[in-house]
Amino acid sequence: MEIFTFFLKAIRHLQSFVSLSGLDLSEYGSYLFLGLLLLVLLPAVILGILQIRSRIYGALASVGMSVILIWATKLGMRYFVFFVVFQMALILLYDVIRRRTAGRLLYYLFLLLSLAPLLVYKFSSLTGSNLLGFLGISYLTFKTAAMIIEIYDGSISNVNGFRLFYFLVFFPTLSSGPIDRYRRFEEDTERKISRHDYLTDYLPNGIRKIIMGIGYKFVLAYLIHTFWLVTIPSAHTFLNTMNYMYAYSFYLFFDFAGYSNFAIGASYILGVKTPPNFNMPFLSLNMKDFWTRWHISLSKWFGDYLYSRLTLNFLRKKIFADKHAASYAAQIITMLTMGFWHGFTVYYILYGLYQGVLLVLTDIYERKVPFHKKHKNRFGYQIAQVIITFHLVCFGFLLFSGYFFN
Amino acid sequence: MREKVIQILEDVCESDEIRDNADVDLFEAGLLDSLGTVSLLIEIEKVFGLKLGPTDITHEQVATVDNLVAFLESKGIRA
Repeated sequence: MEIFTFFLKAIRHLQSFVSLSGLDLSEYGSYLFLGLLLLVLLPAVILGILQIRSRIYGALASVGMSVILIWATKLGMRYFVFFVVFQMALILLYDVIRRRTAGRLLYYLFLLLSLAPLLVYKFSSLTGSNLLGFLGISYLTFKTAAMIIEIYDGSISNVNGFRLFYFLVFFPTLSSGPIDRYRRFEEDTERKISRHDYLTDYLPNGIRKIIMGIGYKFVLAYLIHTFWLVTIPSAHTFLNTMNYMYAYSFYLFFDFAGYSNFAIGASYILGVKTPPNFNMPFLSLNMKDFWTRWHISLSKWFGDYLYSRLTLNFLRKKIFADKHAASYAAQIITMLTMGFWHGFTVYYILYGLYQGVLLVLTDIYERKVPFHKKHKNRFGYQIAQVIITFHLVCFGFLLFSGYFFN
Repeated sequence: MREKVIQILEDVCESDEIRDNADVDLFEAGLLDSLGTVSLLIEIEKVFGLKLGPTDITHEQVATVDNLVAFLESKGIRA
Protein backbone atom coordinates (compact mmCIF):
# COMPACT_ATOMS: atom_id res chain seq x y z
CA MET A 1 0.00 0.00 0.00
CA GLU A 2 2.79 2.34 0.92
CA ILE A 3 4.59 1.52 -2.30
CA PHE A 4 1.42 2.32 -4.23
CA THR A 5 1.05 5.80 -2.72
CA PHE A 6 4.77 6.33 -3.27
CA PHE A 7 4.37 5.67 -6.98
CA LEU A 8 1.30 7.90 -7.22
CA LYS A 9 3.30 10.67 -5.60
CA ALA A 10 6.22 10.02 -7.90
CA ILE A 11 4.04 10.31 -11.02
CA ARG A 12 2.47 13.53 -9.75
CA HIS A 13 5.91 14.98 -9.12
CA LEU A 14 7.15 13.95 -12.53
CA GLN A 15 4.15 15.68 -14.10
CA SER A 16 4.74 18.93 -12.27
CA PHE A 17 8.44 18.59 -13.11
CA VAL A 18 7.64 18.41 -16.82
CA SER A 19 5.37 21.45 -16.76
CA LEU A 20 7.84 23.45 -14.68
CA SER A 21 10.78 22.59 -16.88
CA GLY A 22 8.92 23.62 -20.04
CA LEU A 23 11.36 26.38 -20.85
CA ASP A 24 14.51 24.85 -19.49
CA LEU A 25 17.11 24.23 -22.18
CA SER A 26 20.14 23.05 -20.21
CA GLU A 27 22.08 20.31 -21.99
CA TYR A 28 20.28 16.98 -21.38
CA GLY A 29 18.54 18.76 -18.50
CA SER A 30 14.99 18.96 -19.81
CA TYR A 31 12.41 17.25 -22.00
CA LEU A 32 12.51 20.23 -24.33
CA PHE A 33 16.20 19.66 -24.86
CA LEU A 34 15.58 15.95 -25.45
CA GLY A 35 13.03 16.77 -28.14
CA LEU A 36 15.52 19.08 -29.80
CA LEU A 37 18.20 16.39 -29.55
CA LEU A 38 15.93 13.89 -31.28
CA LEU A 39 15.27 16.36 -34.08
CA VAL A 40 18.98 17.02 -34.59
CA LEU A 41 20.02 13.36 -34.42
CA LEU A 42 17.42 12.11 -36.90
CA PRO A 43 19.30 13.37 -40.01
CA ALA A 44 22.50 11.86 -38.56
CA VAL A 45 20.76 8.46 -38.40
CA ILE A 46 19.70 8.77 -42.04
CA LEU A 47 23.25 9.74 -43.08
CA GLY A 48 24.58 6.82 -41.05
CA ILE A 49 22.27 4.37 -42.82
CA LEU A 50 23.24 5.85 -46.20
CA GLN A 51 26.92 5.35 -45.21
CA ILE A 52 27.67 9.04 -45.59
CA ARG A 53 30.16 10.42 -43.08
CA SER A 54 28.29 12.94 -40.97
CA ARG A 55 31.09 15.24 -39.90
CA ILE A 56 29.92 18.24 -41.91
CA TYR A 57 26.38 17.71 -40.68
CA GLY A 58 27.79 17.13 -37.18
CA ALA A 59 29.67 20.42 -37.31
CA LEU A 60 26.61 22.34 -38.56
CA ALA A 61 24.38 20.71 -35.94
CA SER A 62 27.00 21.56 -33.30
CA VAL A 63 27.04 25.21 -34.29
CA GLY A 64 23.24 25.32 -34.08
CA MET A 65 23.11 23.48 -30.78
CA SER A 66 25.88 25.54 -29.15
CA VAL A 67 24.10 28.73 -30.12
CA ILE A 68 20.86 27.42 -28.59
CA LEU A 69 22.55 26.01 -25.46
CA ILE A 70 24.66 29.06 -24.74
CA TRP A 71 21.91 31.48 -25.71
CA ALA A 72 19.61 29.70 -23.26
CA THR A 73 22.02 30.48 -20.42
CA LYS A 74 21.64 34.15 -21.46
CA LEU A 75 25.31 34.91 -21.15
CA GLY A 76 28.62 34.42 -22.77
CA MET A 77 27.72 33.95 -26.47
CA ARG A 78 30.35 36.45 -27.55
CA TYR A 79 32.85 34.92 -25.09
CA PHE A 80 32.20 31.50 -26.61
CA VAL A 81 32.83 32.81 -30.14
CA PHE A 82 35.94 34.64 -28.94
CA PHE A 83 37.15 31.53 -27.11
CA VAL A 84 36.82 29.23 -30.13
CA VAL A 85 38.50 31.68 -32.51
CA PHE A 86 41.28 32.47 -29.99
CA GLN A 87 42.03 28.81 -29.21
CA MET A 88 41.96 27.78 -32.87
CA ALA A 89 44.43 30.56 -33.69
CA LEU A 90 46.69 29.49 -30.79
CA ILE A 91 46.70 25.82 -31.79
CA LEU A 92 47.20 26.38 -35.52
CA LEU A 93 49.94 28.93 -34.88
CA TYR A 94 51.75 26.77 -32.33
CA ASP A 95 51.52 23.82 -34.73
CA VAL A 96 53.45 25.88 -37.33
CA ILE A 97 55.97 27.18 -34.77
CA ARG A 98 56.59 23.74 -33.25
CA ARG A 99 57.73 22.41 -36.64
CA ARG A 100 60.57 24.96 -36.52
CA THR A 101 61.47 24.93 -32.84
CA ALA A 102 60.83 22.85 -29.74
CA GLY A 103 61.79 25.76 -27.46
CA ARG A 104 60.47 25.42 -23.95
CA LEU A 105 59.77 29.10 -23.40
CA LEU A 106 57.44 29.32 -26.40
CA TYR A 107 55.73 26.11 -25.30
CA TYR A 108 55.02 27.48 -21.83
CA LEU A 109 53.83 30.75 -23.32
CA PHE A 110 51.30 29.01 -25.58
CA LEU A 111 50.18 26.70 -22.78
CA LEU A 112 49.63 29.68 -20.50
CA LEU A 113 47.71 31.53 -23.24
CA SER A 114 45.56 28.46 -23.76
CA LEU A 115 44.70 28.38 -20.05
CA ALA A 116 44.36 32.16 -19.81
CA PRO A 117 40.60 32.54 -20.56
CA LEU A 118 39.74 29.93 -17.92
CA LEU A 119 42.07 31.56 -15.38
CA VAL A 120 40.61 35.01 -16.07
CA TYR A 121 37.12 33.58 -15.68
CA LYS A 122 37.93 31.76 -12.43
CA PHE A 123 39.64 34.76 -10.87
CA SER A 124 36.94 37.18 -12.00
CA SER A 125 34.26 34.87 -10.56
CA LEU A 126 35.81 35.55 -7.14
CA THR A 127 34.54 39.10 -7.49
CA GLY A 128 31.26 37.95 -9.01
CA SER A 129 31.87 39.40 -12.47
CA ASN A 130 32.32 36.12 -14.45
CA LEU A 131 34.47 37.72 -17.12
CA LEU A 132 34.94 35.54 -20.26
CA GLY A 133 32.74 32.81 -18.75
CA PHE A 134 30.35 30.68 -20.77
CA LEU A 135 28.80 27.24 -20.46
CA GLY A 136 31.50 24.60 -20.94
CA ILE A 137 34.60 26.81 -20.72
CA SER A 138 36.32 24.43 -18.26
CA TYR A 139 35.77 21.39 -20.42
CA LEU A 140 36.80 23.13 -23.63
CA THR A 141 40.00 24.32 -21.95
CA PHE A 142 40.91 20.69 -21.17
CA LYS A 143 40.68 19.89 -24.87
CA THR A 144 42.74 22.86 -26.05
CA ALA A 145 45.47 22.67 -23.37
CA ALA A 146 45.92 18.95 -24.10
CA MET A 147 46.41 19.79 -27.78
CA ILE A 148 49.15 22.35 -27.05
CA ILE A 149 50.89 19.76 -24.84
CA GLU A 150 50.69 17.04 -27.50
CA ILE A 151 51.83 19.39 -30.25
CA TYR A 152 54.87 20.14 -28.08
CA ASP A 153 55.39 16.37 -27.59
CA GLY A 154 55.32 15.95 -31.35
CA SER A 155 52.31 13.59 -31.11
CA ILE A 156 49.99 16.00 -32.92
CA SER A 157 51.07 17.88 -36.03
CA ASN A 158 49.54 19.30 -39.21
CA VAL A 159 46.26 20.16 -37.51
CA ASN A 160 43.40 20.59 -39.95
CA GLY A 161 41.32 23.71 -39.27
CA PHE A 162 37.92 22.15 -39.95
CA ARG A 163 38.57 19.04 -37.85
CA LEU A 164 39.88 21.20 -35.02
CA PHE A 165 36.72 23.32 -35.21
CA TYR A 166 34.50 20.22 -35.15
CA PHE A 167 36.45 18.78 -32.20
CA LEU A 168 36.00 21.98 -30.19
CA VAL A 169 32.32 22.66 -30.88
CA PHE A 170 31.13 19.00 -30.95
CA PHE A 171 27.87 19.59 -29.13
CA PRO A 172 27.15 16.28 -27.34
CA THR A 173 30.08 16.87 -24.96
CA LEU A 174 30.04 20.67 -25.00
CA SER A 175 28.88 21.58 -21.51
CA SER A 176 30.35 18.87 -19.24
CA GLY A 177 32.36 16.28 -21.16
CA PRO A 178 33.32 13.43 -21.27
CA ILE A 179 36.62 15.05 -22.24
CA ASP A 180 37.71 13.57 -25.56
CA ARG A 181 41.20 13.64 -27.11
CA TYR A 182 41.95 15.20 -30.48
CA ARG A 183 43.79 12.24 -32.02
CA ARG A 184 41.06 9.81 -30.96
CA PHE A 185 38.26 12.11 -32.12
CA GLU A 186 39.95 12.73 -35.46
CA GLU A 187 40.35 8.98 -36.09
CA ASP A 188 36.65 8.47 -35.37
CA THR A 189 35.47 11.23 -37.68
CA GLU A 190 37.79 10.07 -40.49
CA ARG A 191 36.59 6.46 -40.28
CA LYS A 192 34.11 5.26 -42.86
CA ILE A 193 31.36 3.42 -40.99
CA SER A 194 29.62 0.64 -42.90
CA ARG A 195 25.82 0.39 -42.77
CA HIS A 196 26.20 -2.90 -40.93
CA ASP A 197 28.40 -1.36 -38.23
CA TYR A 198 26.15 1.65 -37.93
CA LEU A 199 23.01 -0.45 -37.53
CA THR A 200 24.49 -3.09 -35.21
CA ASP A 201 26.86 -0.97 -33.12
CA TYR A 202 26.72 2.84 -33.28
CA LEU A 203 22.94 3.31 -33.49
CA PRO A 204 21.69 0.66 -31.01
CA ASN A 205 24.43 1.41 -28.50
CA GLY A 206 23.76 5.11 -28.87
CA ILE A 207 20.04 4.62 -28.24
CA ARG A 208 20.77 2.30 -25.31
CA LYS A 209 23.03 4.93 -23.71
CA ILE A 210 20.41 7.64 -24.17
CA ILE A 211 17.75 5.42 -22.56
CA MET A 212 20.16 4.75 -19.68
CA GLY A 213 20.67 8.51 -19.44
CA ILE A 214 16.92 9.02 -19.13
CA GLY A 215 16.69 6.30 -16.46
CA TYR A 216 19.61 7.70 -14.45
CA LYS A 217 18.94 11.40 -14.71
CA PHE A 218 15.21 11.83 -15.19
CA VAL A 219 14.07 8.94 -13.03
CA LEU A 220 16.66 7.91 -10.42
CA ALA A 221 18.44 11.23 -9.81
CA TYR A 222 15.10 13.01 -9.85
CA LEU A 223 13.51 10.60 -7.37
CA ILE A 224 16.53 10.70 -5.07
CA HIS A 225 16.52 14.47 -5.14
CA THR A 226 12.78 14.92 -4.60
CA PHE A 227 12.00 12.17 -2.11
CA TRP A 228 15.25 11.87 -0.24
CA LEU A 229 17.75 14.72 -0.54
CA VAL A 230 15.44 17.70 -0.06
CA THR A 231 13.40 16.01 2.70
CA ILE A 232 16.40 15.85 5.07
CA PRO A 233 16.05 18.42 7.90
CA SER A 234 18.65 21.16 7.70
CA ALA A 235 19.92 20.78 11.28
CA HIS A 236 23.44 19.29 11.10
CA THR A 237 22.93 16.42 13.55
CA PHE A 238 25.04 13.29 13.10
CA LEU A 239 22.16 11.29 11.62
CA ASN A 240 21.05 14.10 9.27
CA THR A 241 24.62 14.53 8.09
CA MET A 242 25.03 10.81 7.37
CA ASN A 243 21.69 10.75 5.61
CA TYR A 244 22.61 13.78 3.52
CA MET A 245 25.98 12.24 2.68
CA TYR A 246 24.42 9.07 1.21
CA ALA A 247 21.60 10.92 -0.56
CA TYR A 248 23.94 13.50 -2.10
CA SER A 249 26.43 10.85 -3.24
CA PHE A 250 23.80 8.79 -5.03
CA TYR A 251 22.21 11.91 -6.48
CA LEU A 252 25.56 13.18 -7.76
CA PHE A 253 26.35 9.84 -9.37
CA PHE A 254 23.02 9.27 -11.11
CA ASP A 255 22.78 12.87 -12.25
CA PHE A 256 26.29 13.06 -13.68
CA ALA A 257 26.46 9.49 -15.01
CA GLY A 258 23.04 10.08 -16.59
CA TYR A 259 24.30 13.23 -18.26
CA SER A 260 27.43 11.39 -19.45
CA ASN A 261 25.34 8.57 -20.91
CA PHE A 262 23.31 11.10 -22.88
CA ALA A 263 26.48 12.72 -24.19
CA ILE A 264 28.01 9.37 -25.16
CA GLY A 265 24.78 8.13 -26.75
CA ALA A 266 24.37 11.28 -28.85
CA SER A 267 28.04 11.02 -29.89
CA TYR A 268 27.62 7.40 -31.04
CA ILE A 269 24.69 8.37 -33.23
CA LEU A 270 26.97 10.98 -34.84
CA GLY A 271 29.59 8.27 -35.41
CA VAL A 272 31.93 9.30 -32.58
CA LYS A 273 32.75 6.87 -29.80
CA THR A 274 33.18 9.37 -26.99
CA PRO A 275 35.03 7.59 -24.13
CA PRO A 276 33.14 6.45 -20.99
CA ASN A 277 33.03 8.49 -17.80
CA PHE A 278 31.83 6.01 -15.16
CA ASN A 279 32.38 2.34 -14.41
CA MET A 280 30.54 1.33 -11.22
CA PRO A 281 32.51 3.73 -8.98
CA PHE A 282 30.71 2.67 -5.79
CA LEU A 283 32.23 -0.81 -6.11
CA SER A 284 35.84 0.43 -6.03
CA LEU A 285 38.34 -1.58 -3.98
CA ASN A 286 40.37 1.46 -2.96
CA MET A 287 40.75 5.15 -3.78
CA LYS A 288 43.20 4.46 -6.60
CA ASP A 289 40.65 2.12 -8.13
CA PHE A 290 37.93 4.73 -7.55
CA TRP A 291 39.75 7.25 -9.77
CA THR A 292 39.77 4.74 -12.62
CA ARG A 293 35.97 4.44 -12.31
CA TRP A 294 34.69 7.93 -11.40
CA HIS A 295 34.69 10.81 -13.91
CA ILE A 296 37.19 8.74 -15.88
CA SER A 297 37.87 11.22 -18.68
CA LEU A 298 38.75 13.90 -16.11
CA SER A 299 40.98 11.67 -13.98
CA LYS A 300 42.73 10.38 -17.12
CA TRP A 301 43.29 13.96 -18.21
CA PHE A 302 44.86 14.87 -14.89
CA GLY A 303 46.77 11.57 -14.89
CA ASP A 304 48.23 12.05 -18.37
CA TYR A 305 48.82 15.78 -18.48
CA LEU A 306 49.65 16.65 -14.89
CA TYR A 307 50.44 13.71 -12.58
CA SER A 308 52.59 11.69 -15.03
CA ARG A 309 54.44 14.73 -16.31
CA LEU A 310 55.14 16.04 -12.80
CA THR A 311 56.42 12.63 -11.67
CA LEU A 312 58.49 12.26 -14.84
CA ASN A 313 60.08 15.69 -14.29
CA PHE A 314 60.68 15.08 -10.57
CA LEU A 315 62.52 11.86 -11.43
CA ARG A 316 64.41 13.09 -14.52
CA LYS A 317 65.63 16.19 -12.71
CA LYS A 318 66.27 14.14 -9.57
CA ILE A 319 64.16 16.49 -7.42
CA PHE A 320 63.12 13.37 -5.51
CA ALA A 321 65.49 10.43 -5.24
CA ASP A 322 62.70 8.03 -4.27
CA LYS A 323 60.10 7.38 -6.95
CA HIS A 324 57.32 6.90 -4.41
CA ALA A 325 58.05 10.28 -2.81
CA ALA A 326 57.95 11.87 -6.28
CA SER A 327 54.63 10.20 -6.97
CA TYR A 328 53.13 11.34 -3.63
CA ALA A 329 54.11 14.96 -4.23
CA ALA A 330 52.65 14.75 -7.75
CA GLN A 331 49.43 13.20 -6.43
CA ILE A 332 48.88 15.94 -3.87
CA ILE A 333 49.60 18.69 -6.42
CA THR A 334 47.34 17.04 -9.02
CA MET A 335 44.39 16.62 -6.68
CA LEU A 336 44.77 20.15 -5.29
CA THR A 337 44.75 21.47 -8.85
CA MET A 338 41.59 19.47 -9.53
CA GLY A 339 40.07 21.08 -6.43
CA PHE A 340 40.94 24.57 -7.71
CA TRP A 341 39.56 23.65 -11.13
CA HIS A 342 36.18 22.89 -9.57
CA GLY A 343 36.19 26.41 -8.18
CA PHE A 344 38.22 28.75 -6.00
CA THR A 345 36.12 27.84 -2.98
CA VAL A 346 37.32 26.52 0.38
CA TYR A 347 35.38 23.26 0.20
CA TYR A 348 36.53 22.38 -3.33
CA ILE A 349 40.14 22.91 -2.29
CA LEU A 350 39.61 20.83 0.86
CA TYR A 351 38.07 18.14 -1.34
CA GLY A 352 41.16 18.13 -3.57
CA LEU A 353 43.50 17.93 -0.59
CA TYR A 354 41.38 15.12 0.92
CA GLN A 355 41.60 13.10 -2.32
CA GLY A 356 45.36 13.66 -2.61
CA VAL A 357 46.06 12.60 0.97
CA LEU A 358 43.83 9.53 0.58
CA LEU A 359 45.72 8.43 -2.56
CA VAL A 360 49.03 8.72 -0.72
CA LEU A 361 47.73 6.85 2.34
CA THR A 362 46.25 4.13 0.11
CA ASP A 363 49.60 3.55 -1.54
CA ILE A 364 51.51 3.47 1.75
CA TYR A 365 48.95 1.07 3.23
CA GLU A 366 49.10 -1.30 0.27
CA ARG A 367 52.89 -1.35 0.11
CA LYS A 368 53.76 -1.43 3.80
CA VAL A 369 51.01 -3.24 5.71
CA PRO A 370 51.58 -7.02 5.81
CA PHE A 371 47.92 -7.60 6.78
CA HIS A 372 46.87 -6.19 3.40
CA LYS A 373 49.36 -8.26 1.42
CA LYS A 374 48.28 -11.40 3.23
CA HIS A 375 44.53 -10.94 2.77
CA LYS A 376 44.18 -8.93 -0.43
CA ASN A 377 42.94 -11.87 -2.48
CA ARG A 378 40.30 -12.98 0.02
CA PHE A 379 36.69 -12.29 -0.84
CA GLY A 380 35.67 -11.19 2.67
CA TYR A 381 38.57 -8.74 2.84
CA GLN A 382 37.64 -7.30 -0.55
CA ILE A 383 34.02 -6.78 0.57
CA ALA A 384 35.33 -4.87 3.59
CA GLN A 385 37.56 -2.83 1.26
CA VAL A 386 34.60 -1.91 -0.96
CA ILE A 387 32.49 -0.82 2.03
CA ILE A 388 35.27 1.30 3.53
CA THR A 389 36.15 2.86 0.16
CA PHE A 390 32.48 3.62 -0.47
CA HIS A 391 32.34 5.60 2.78
CA LEU A 392 35.60 7.43 2.08
CA VAL A 393 34.17 8.38 -1.31
CA CYS A 394 30.84 9.53 0.12
CA PHE A 395 32.58 11.60 2.78
CA GLY A 396 34.59 13.24 0.00
CA PHE A 397 31.35 14.14 -1.80
CA LEU A 398 29.96 15.55 1.42
CA LEU A 399 32.99 17.87 1.62
CA PHE A 400 32.50 18.65 -2.08
CA SER A 401 28.82 19.50 -1.59
CA GLY A 402 29.70 22.38 0.71
CA TYR A 403 27.38 20.95 3.38
CA PHE A 404 29.74 21.93 6.18
CA PHE A 405 29.73 25.53 4.99
CA ASN A 406 25.96 25.92 4.71
CA MET B 1 65.46 -7.29 -26.86
CA ARG B 2 62.89 -9.50 -25.17
CA GLU B 3 65.29 -10.19 -22.31
CA LYS B 4 65.87 -6.46 -21.79
CA VAL B 5 62.13 -5.80 -21.80
CA ILE B 6 61.50 -8.52 -19.20
CA GLN B 7 64.29 -7.05 -17.06
CA ILE B 8 62.78 -3.55 -17.29
CA LEU B 9 59.26 -4.75 -16.46
CA GLU B 10 60.49 -6.81 -13.50
CA ASP B 11 62.27 -3.73 -12.13
CA VAL B 12 59.35 -1.40 -12.70
CA CYS B 13 56.69 -3.77 -11.33
CA GLU B 14 58.92 -4.90 -8.45
CA SER B 15 57.94 -8.48 -9.25
CA ASP B 16 59.83 -11.55 -10.46
CA GLU B 17 56.72 -13.31 -11.76
CA ILE B 18 56.77 -11.61 -15.14
CA ARG B 19 59.16 -13.94 -16.95
CA ASP B 20 56.85 -16.92 -16.45
CA ASN B 21 53.64 -14.99 -17.19
CA ALA B 22 54.60 -13.11 -20.34
CA ASP B 23 51.02 -12.79 -21.57
CA VAL B 24 49.49 -11.55 -18.30
CA ASP B 25 47.92 -8.10 -18.49
CA LEU B 26 50.07 -6.18 -16.01
CA PHE B 27 47.40 -3.53 -15.33
CA GLU B 28 44.74 -6.13 -14.60
CA ALA B 29 47.17 -8.08 -12.41
CA GLY B 30 47.69 -4.89 -10.38
CA LEU B 31 51.43 -4.92 -11.15
CA LEU B 32 51.49 -1.77 -13.27
CA ASP B 33 49.85 1.52 -12.25
CA SER B 34 50.33 5.17 -13.15
CA LEU B 35 53.61 5.45 -11.24
CA GLY B 36 54.72 2.17 -12.85
CA THR B 37 53.97 3.60 -16.29
CA VAL B 38 56.08 6.69 -15.55
CA SER B 39 58.97 4.52 -14.28
CA LEU B 40 58.62 2.43 -17.41
CA LEU B 41 59.03 5.54 -19.59
CA ILE B 42 62.18 6.45 -17.70
CA GLU B 43 63.62 2.94 -18.04
CA ILE B 44 62.84 2.80 -21.78
CA GLU B 45 64.65 6.12 -22.15
CA LYS B 46 67.65 4.81 -20.17
CA VAL B 47 67.95 1.41 -21.85
CA PHE B 48 66.89 2.14 -25.44
CA GLY B 49 67.42 5.92 -25.65
CA LEU B 50 63.82 6.43 -26.76
CA LYS B 51 62.22 9.48 -25.14
CA LEU B 52 58.44 9.15 -24.80
CA GLY B 53 55.71 11.30 -23.24
CA PRO B 54 52.89 9.84 -21.11
CA THR B 55 50.37 10.16 -23.97
CA ASP B 56 52.65 8.44 -26.48
CA ILE B 57 51.81 5.01 -25.12
CA THR B 58 48.45 3.37 -24.56
CA HIS B 59 47.76 0.89 -21.73
CA GLU B 60 47.41 -1.84 -24.33
CA GLN B 61 50.82 -1.18 -25.89
CA VAL B 62 52.63 -1.82 -22.60
CA ALA B 63 50.25 -4.24 -20.88
CA THR B 64 52.26 -7.42 -21.62
CA VAL B 65 55.86 -8.35 -22.45
CA ASP B 66 54.92 -9.20 -26.05
CA ASN B 67 52.95 -5.99 -26.55
CA LEU B 68 55.83 -3.89 -25.27
CA VAL B 69 58.35 -5.71 -27.50
CA ALA B 70 56.08 -5.17 -30.52
CA PHE B 71 55.58 -1.51 -29.59
CA LEU B 72 59.32 -0.85 -29.27
CA GLU B 73 59.99 -2.61 -32.58
CA SER B 74 57.34 -0.44 -34.23
CA LYS B 75 59.32 2.58 -32.96
CA GLY B 76 62.40 1.27 -34.78
CA ILE B 77 64.22 -0.12 -31.73
CA ARG B 78 66.45 -3.10 -32.55
CA ALA B 79 68.55 -4.42 -29.72
